[in-house]
Amino acid sequence: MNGLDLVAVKSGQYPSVTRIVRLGLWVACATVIAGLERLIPLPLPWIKLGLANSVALIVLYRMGFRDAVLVNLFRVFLIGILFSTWLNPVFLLSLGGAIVAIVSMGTLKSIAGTRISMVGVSVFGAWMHMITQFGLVALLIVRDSMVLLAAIPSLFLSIVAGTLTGIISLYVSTRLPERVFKSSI
Amino acid sequence: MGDLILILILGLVSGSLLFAASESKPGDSAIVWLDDTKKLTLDLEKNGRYSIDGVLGETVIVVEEKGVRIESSPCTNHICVKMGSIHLSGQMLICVPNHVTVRVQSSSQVGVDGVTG
Repeated sequence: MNGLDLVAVKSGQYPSVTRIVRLGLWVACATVIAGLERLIPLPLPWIKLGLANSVALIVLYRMGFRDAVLVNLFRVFLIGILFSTWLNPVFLLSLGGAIVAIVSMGTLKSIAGTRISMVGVSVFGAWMHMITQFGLVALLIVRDSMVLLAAIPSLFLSIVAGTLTGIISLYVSTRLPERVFKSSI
Repeated sequence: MGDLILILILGLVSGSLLFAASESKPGDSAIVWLDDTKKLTLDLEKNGRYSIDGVLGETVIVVEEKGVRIESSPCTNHICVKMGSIHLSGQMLICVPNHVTVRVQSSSQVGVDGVTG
């Protein structure tokens, strides 16, 4: 039993404290991955692999929907502060995309059950994330339906990126032991 | 298997956006903008000749055969003149140096415009 567990036992709050710590670690993991991903120069600013979403996907499968929503939300807030996009349009795009992605992935997972694997759920999340962002751009910034025409290549790219991150998530998730997700006493 | 079906559906939806966005109908009016201000609304049913004072000088806009084109412009490269005549809803003529934009509109806007508001 490590120090943190001991404190938790003494204060009589074992489950909630470990849950906070574990969630914090997952939030940190997602934030670091999202931050590093932003530092990779790419020809188009909105094209990225979306590895941060695969962290949320793993949390969704191993810890549940509520924790996954929290991880994604905290990640967006932290990235917003770190990259000083706090509350500007870029931040709103990230926030909208992240919320829609995790909610749509959770919904698809619970509806489809075992018929759709982690890869399919990941593709759906990436696609919903992309179309949400373009919808928000059309609503908030450009106000022109031609934006959606520009969205088409990005939507196909998001299917590719979602497949890749889905395979990565599946690979990582099956190799992570249960103790990184659940408190064991 | 379910994954493949899902990917196929998403691909089809992405592709069908192309039809939704490009299904342009002939417009019935054209709006002339100078920067962010609406300067003129032209009726494409009636032939006519209009001019507008931009940043550099006078841009001449001609409406004929239900289309609109820029006839002359004070800019140096005349890209807007070379764009020729436009008549489909959503099409634009843009003269960047003179800050003049002409956009064709249709009074019965349908399709994607209705969704995005």
